Amino acid sequence: MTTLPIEYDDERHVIEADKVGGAVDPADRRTTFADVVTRTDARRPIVPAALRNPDARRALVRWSAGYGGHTALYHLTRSPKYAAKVAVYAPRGAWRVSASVIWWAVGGRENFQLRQEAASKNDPHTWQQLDRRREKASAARWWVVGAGLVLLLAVVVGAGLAGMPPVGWYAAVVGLVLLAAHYGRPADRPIVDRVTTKAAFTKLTGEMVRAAVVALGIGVKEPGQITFPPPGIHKDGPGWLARFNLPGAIVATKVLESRDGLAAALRLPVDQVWPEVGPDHPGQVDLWVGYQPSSKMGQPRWALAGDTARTSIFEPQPFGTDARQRPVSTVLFERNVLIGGQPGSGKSYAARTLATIAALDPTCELKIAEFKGTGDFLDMAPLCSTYACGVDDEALSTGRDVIAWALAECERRGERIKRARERGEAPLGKVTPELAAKRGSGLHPVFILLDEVHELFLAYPDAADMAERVAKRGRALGIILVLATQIADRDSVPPNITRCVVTRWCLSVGGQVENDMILGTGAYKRGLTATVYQPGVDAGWGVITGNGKAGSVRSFFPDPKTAAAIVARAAQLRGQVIGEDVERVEARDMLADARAVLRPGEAGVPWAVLAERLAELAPDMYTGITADMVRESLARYGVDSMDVKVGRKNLKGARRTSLEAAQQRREIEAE
Amino acid sequence: MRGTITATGILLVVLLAYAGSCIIRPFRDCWLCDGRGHHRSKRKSKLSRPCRWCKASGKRLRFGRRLWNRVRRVHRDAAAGARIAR
Ligand SMILES: [Zn+2]
Repeated sequence: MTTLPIEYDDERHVIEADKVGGAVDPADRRTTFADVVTRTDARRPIVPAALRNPDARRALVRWSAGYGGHTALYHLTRSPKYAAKVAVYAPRGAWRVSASVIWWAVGGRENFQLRQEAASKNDPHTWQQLDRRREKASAARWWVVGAGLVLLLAVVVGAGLAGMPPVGWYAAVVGLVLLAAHYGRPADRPIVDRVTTKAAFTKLTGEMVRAAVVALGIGVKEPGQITFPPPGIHKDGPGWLARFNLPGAIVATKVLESRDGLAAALRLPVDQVWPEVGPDHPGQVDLWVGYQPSSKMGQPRWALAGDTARTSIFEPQPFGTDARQRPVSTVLFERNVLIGGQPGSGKSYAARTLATIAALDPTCELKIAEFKGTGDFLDMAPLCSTYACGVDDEALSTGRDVIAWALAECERRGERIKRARERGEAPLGKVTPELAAKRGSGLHPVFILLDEVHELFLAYPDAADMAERVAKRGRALGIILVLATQIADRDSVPPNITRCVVTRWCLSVGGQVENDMILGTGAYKRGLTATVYQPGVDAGWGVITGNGKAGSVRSFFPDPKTAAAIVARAAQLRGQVIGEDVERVEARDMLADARAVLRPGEAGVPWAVLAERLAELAPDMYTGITADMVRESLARYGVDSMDVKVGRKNLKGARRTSLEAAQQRREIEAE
Repeated sequence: MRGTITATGILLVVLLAYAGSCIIRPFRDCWLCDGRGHHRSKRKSKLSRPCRWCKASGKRLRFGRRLWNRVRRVHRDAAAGARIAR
């Protein structure tokens, strides 16, 4: 310890220096046997990524065939020109080759400069010494040349004696001539012309990535700060994958946010550059760069378009592809999906891919209602137990009936599951594949698709409440709800519904607000930006969350013929329509119902009591409704939550006066 | 006409060959001493005296190479002079 005595007038201060530092890092530990045998280092796959899945292989073969064919034809048409060039270059090449062989044999290059210097200085002694050394080196070389010539002669004679067909001789001569032409051509003048005019993007290099990331200006100063963990930059699908670590505390989302900048720095179109957060830590980026922009790449074949395709909603089924052309799958069971996007984003087709998965499962009941009125799902109507199309009252009320039915079905299924569980058939209290397939179990999967659902929710606010309850309860009971909408603001699609739906697929949207309304608050900031897609051009592209790793997915887009074949196949698998049409449930008016269950003399009822009474009044409609739901539904009519006296306690509830006032307001508005 | 072309061709080939030899074998045997470097003595017992023409090396630079060296030296000196002058 250091002490620093400082003397003042008559005092003496002793100041102790601070103890700085000290070991904080634990001592390095030796590797033990256990460490070695429990190593979980990622091993590099034996088969390269580009060859691992059948679609990638097919794409590679298709590309090679197309490219090879074009190249062959291209060169064939130019063969006379090539022949002329060869005629000029071959003799030159022959001369060059033989001259360089002889030059080597005589040792011409051996201390050539020194000998020339001696000659320039007129120094015969040095020159003679140097020349003697050259002679010595040369002596052995002549033997080599001689041996080579003898060998060549032996081969030629041997081939002649063995009876080489004339074709062989021609091939040999042609080969020699081409070889000579190769050596005879000027270095900058190739014999064959280039097939592609523009230097196409062929390879992603570490230098390119480093320069691009530094150019982004996100805090990376030196190109060397970016490191590439093994296996480095490699081919992955139809493109290159660069996995790199950003220095310090710079997070990968910074790179994701400026994808445009990255594309600009790489001098490539935006849809050719696909950054993602890497798997190891938040500062790691997986940058995938396609050989081509994805808009030009086409899409691999959809497995469900096959002649023998049959699905199960309990198993992963492909519905789209990611940027790297790999299929993206989902298990529909226990899943509700919200699909959002502006007109032209390919929303209906995205919904259709999910409907196709359901359609090809012959146990799954389909109920489709589409409130655009253009008949996007008309061809699937024969498969559906309920189908509605349009924005008229009939279609909208059918849509509402579907939700009401689903809610009532949840109630019925809850009972059935309970009994099944008692029998030991549903150990987890949810529908199993066996139960779903069992005839008469009443637990077959139901797929409900509501396209442009905001129309329905605007027309029937109570439908939104019911949908929320279906989304919550139906998951384990085999009821799958898919909602597609172009407006997801709180008035058209209540946030409660969006909250209940785990899987969200946001296709092209106009701005950050819309993006976050569908994908959830903060999604845009995390780099989940569906605003990069343009309607029309990027139709089908979207960002999906809640289905494994969040990222870009492009829905499959079968041509009309394939789509028709899929529907025909689904019809054949099913044989008949699964399930029954919904009964037309009379529309209920919650305000009127609330007033009806108010007993004479009551000044008000607490929300919980009101919920119970409503469920008694109309079980089809209100079963499972909670106090909060009632409160929210009535708040829409302007019924405030106020203190209601029950016995001696004050509970929150609806007062008779507020209900009456709400009714009066409605009557006035109606007039 | 044909004769002229042939003659020119032959002259060209000869010139090229001579230029080549100026590079590859810039020294030739001395004419005066036949490449021995010393004169043949009249009497056998006496030592032969060295050739002064080739400074006893027995080799002389070819005329072409001598000329070429001269040209290059002049050129180099001129270039150096120009550099100094600047
Ligand atoms: Zn001499």
